[in-house]
Amino acid sequence: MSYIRIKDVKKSFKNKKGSTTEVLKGIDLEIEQGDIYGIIGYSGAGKSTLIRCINGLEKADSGSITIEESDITTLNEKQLMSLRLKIGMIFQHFNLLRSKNVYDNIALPLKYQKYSADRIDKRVNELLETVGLTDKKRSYPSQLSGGQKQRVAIARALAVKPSILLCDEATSALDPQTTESILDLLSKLNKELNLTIILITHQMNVIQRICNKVAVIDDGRIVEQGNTFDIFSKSEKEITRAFLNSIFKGPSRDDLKNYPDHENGRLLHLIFTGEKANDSLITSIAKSFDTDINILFGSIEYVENKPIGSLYVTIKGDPKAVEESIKKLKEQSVRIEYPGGDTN
Amino acid sequence: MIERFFPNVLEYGNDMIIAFKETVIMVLIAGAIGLFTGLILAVILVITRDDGLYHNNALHRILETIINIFRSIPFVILVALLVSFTRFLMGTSIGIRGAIVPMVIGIVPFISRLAEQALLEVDSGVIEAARAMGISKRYIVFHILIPEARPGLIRSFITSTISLIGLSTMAGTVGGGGIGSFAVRYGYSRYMNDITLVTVVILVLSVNIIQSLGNRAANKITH
Ligand SMILES: Nc1ncnc2c1ncn2[C@@H]1O[C@H](COP(=O)(O)OP(=O)(O)OP(=O)(O)O)[C@@H](O)[C@H]1O
Ligand SMILES: [Mg+2]
Repeated sequence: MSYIRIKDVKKSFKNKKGSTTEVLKGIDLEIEQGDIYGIIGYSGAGKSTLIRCINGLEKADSGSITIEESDITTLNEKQLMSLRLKIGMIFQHFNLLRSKNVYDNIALPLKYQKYSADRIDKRVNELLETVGLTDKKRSYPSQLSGGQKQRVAIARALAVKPSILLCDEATSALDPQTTESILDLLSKLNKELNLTIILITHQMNVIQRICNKVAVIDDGRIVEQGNTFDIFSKSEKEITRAFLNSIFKGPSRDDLKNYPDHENGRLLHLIFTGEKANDSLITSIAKSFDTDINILFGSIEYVENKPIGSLYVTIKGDPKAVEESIKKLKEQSVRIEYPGGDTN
Repeated sequence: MIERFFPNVLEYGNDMIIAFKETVIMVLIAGAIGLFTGLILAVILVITRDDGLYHNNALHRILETIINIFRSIPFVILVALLVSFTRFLMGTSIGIRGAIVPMVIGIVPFISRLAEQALLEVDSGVIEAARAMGISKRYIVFHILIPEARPGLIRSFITSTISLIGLSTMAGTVGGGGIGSFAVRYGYSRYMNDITLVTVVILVLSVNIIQSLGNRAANKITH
């Protein structure tokens, strides 16, 4: 049985006027120990609500959440408090105590657990080392950059040695470089401590960089889940494709809409996966069907360290030959989208 | 020079000092009791809110109503209203002892509202993070909510203390005692304008000293 198993979890909120909205509409997820499990979805999809159900900050209306064989939806407040020692959590806005310095912020959970001063000191220094902030021990949060604050928050979340770390948009308030360094830190912690990480995000680059598994959530439902590369290379779902496309640099959707289709040929967006992520295929197809394939824009991105290529091309020639070329491309399991709007 | 412009101040100087000391005592005692009570009520107001740690709509509403009622009674009327109660509690309704009861009851609603605001400024995310760490609600209130609100609380206490000085002059006028009643008895009733003037200067100075000491304290613990 999986390490964490979420089964048919539902959750509604009552608003002030008395009407209810169902935010989670039956969520099923299976997470293994050591996973870096990404949950990606647009704003309002229910990501935060879902992750807060995992440590009982939010109570699911129905369904079960099993962690290490025990169903946490049946726990009382006291039992939840001890469960939370096993589950650390970090947030988009870091949530550090302004009135306490870095050292005391990290020491907070240890003090609460009544560790001796010596043990607290030893553990805090250890953690400062892990997150690379030894020199900031006496600084206050207001004196730190966003990335440093998140490092403090990570140290604090790991203080009592949890085996699971929940990340609620942990990098969404950070610039791209800082995001990378925090993701690298999470990835390091995952390997060194065998920490299971569940992270929610609306940023595809976060998933792309560190997640081995991913679930796509839309409007309170899991649209699909699985290995990150498989999901993004094979998905037929529009939302998944949109997330994938968001990592490729290229012309904007509007630019492409205005592209003069008929004059310059059919506009295609080709997505190659794995070994096929190269353009020699294009050349050979153009040759064998005597079509004129013109590459407008190309880039390669790596998901789980495997390449996925993106090419915007126009294809021109005898209509029949064009159709044949497209068919051939599809046979080679190249995914084709028609940004010009033509989908036949 | 002083004799010419401040004859009465010279003559009644000692009484004036005594009156000032009385004011200090009234403000200190009523302040200490009022701040403590106000803080407790503010904490209850905040934690019983809908999104609070111990949300309890009934308790919240009741407390809010009582506070609003007392806040809407003008202080002079409150003093009159409380005469019997004050006498029952303190054995007298005049002098410093008589002034303290209405001062406390007059200031508590004010302090609790200001302190409530200060507590509400604590980021709810911090409290959520503490809950996620498995920390108890009780510990959160005493070790996180209140300490995090400290700069705001100090500022609200300063504002309240300054208001208390105002209340002390009114309470003193009704019951006798303190610099306010002194100014009324001599400066106003007996047309000794120099006494009124010096009283004003003393009050202005006191308020400014309290304000700047308070600001300094608040800034020192704001990080
Ligand atoms: N405590 C609450 N009371 C009422 N409605 C809520 C509450 N918490 C969340 N919601 C609603 O539930 C929906 C999902 O919220 P949630 O925070 O889970 O979304 P999210 O996917 O995390 O979005 P974001 O990316 O913006 O953080 C939103 O429409 C939100 O308004
Ligand atoms: Mg969210």
